[in-house]
Amino acid sequence: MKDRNRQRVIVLVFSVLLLIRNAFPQIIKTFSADFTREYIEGNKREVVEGKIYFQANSKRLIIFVTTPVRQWMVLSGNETLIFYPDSLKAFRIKMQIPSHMPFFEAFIGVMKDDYGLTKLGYTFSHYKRKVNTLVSYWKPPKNLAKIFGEYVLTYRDNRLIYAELKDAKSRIASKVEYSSHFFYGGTYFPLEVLITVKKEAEVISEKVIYKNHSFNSPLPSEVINFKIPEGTKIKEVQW
Amino acid sequence: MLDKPFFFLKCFEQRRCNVKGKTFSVWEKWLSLGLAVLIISLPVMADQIVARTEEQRQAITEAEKQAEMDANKWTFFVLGLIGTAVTLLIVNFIEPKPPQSSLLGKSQEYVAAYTDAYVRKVKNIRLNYTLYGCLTGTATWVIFYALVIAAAVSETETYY
Repeated sequence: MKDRNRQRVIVLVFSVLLLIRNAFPQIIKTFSADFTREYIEGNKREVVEGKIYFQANSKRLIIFVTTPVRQWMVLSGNETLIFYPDSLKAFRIKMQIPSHMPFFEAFIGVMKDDYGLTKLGYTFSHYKRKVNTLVSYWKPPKNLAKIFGEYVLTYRDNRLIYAELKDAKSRIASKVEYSSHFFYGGTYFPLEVLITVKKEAEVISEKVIYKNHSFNSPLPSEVINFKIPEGTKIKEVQW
Repeated sequence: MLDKPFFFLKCFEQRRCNVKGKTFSVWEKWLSLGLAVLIISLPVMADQIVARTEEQRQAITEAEKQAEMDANKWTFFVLGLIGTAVTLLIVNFIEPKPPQSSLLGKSQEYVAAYTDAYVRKVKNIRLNYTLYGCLTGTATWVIFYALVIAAAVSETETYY
């Protein structure tokens, strides 16, 4: 039962992020950056480095991983394509829900004033303001009130620095911390994002650092025209 | 003839070589070269095989752990409780959806093992819990009917 509630928390957090990705204003046409992603779960620690590209018009996210393996991951619609250029092998995963990468959506989610909460049924409750810090509190929809608690958003100097989801018992279920902001198109985007989800005795954390970012610049042709080369062995996976 | 593979490596400097008075043909030399390379590389290959197997084992463990969390066991138990044998067939076709971020930066062997293990485990869990629900539902009805029949029989006996 506890695992199920934790799973619901994760689904809610990522639903928010997914909604944000689908609803953000069109000030971003393309985005690219180098990224380092550190994932820690218990004793397990994984570090992935690479380059991330985003095309707003086609809502396509393309990730080229360079460490620890060379891997292309293309997320578009309900399909995820994973391609290994060194061995010419690929996996095409088709799902019933849109494919998404939570750590990138946590980054782009700062563009939405309400973090996408209104669309999920959350209602604004109250706020607290102290000098340059604004904290807003959001109540969950009635049908989810037995599982989820309030959502808390913290802004400092117009920068979203913290987003927190509590469970029905007012314990912190998950949180996202934003730092190293830069200003573009009227929004402060974070170059460091730390997502933390609490399990019973364990904490899962995912830290992403972006570098060499670029908005609305032309993307490389190999990214725009990305295609799997002929002769690639593709495994179709239906999820 | 091939009891000393390394010896034959030297033979490839010449088209033919003599061993104990016997001349070996080119294909025999190629065969012995292949064997020599195989013997030298066996420890390295063994390490790689062990590493791949270990990686696949890890992928399966991670996938099954994720599948345990994603399977919604009790939902399918209830489905089995209220459904029929058809429910079992439907459950077998409902595909689970693991997170793509689990596959980011992973090797192809890991991804292959993970996707197979995840789908298999989730289906297995859901099918089992649906079956438990079906059996529980059936047992409940059997007990109910047994009680009804027993009550009806005892009523009839009373009248006699």
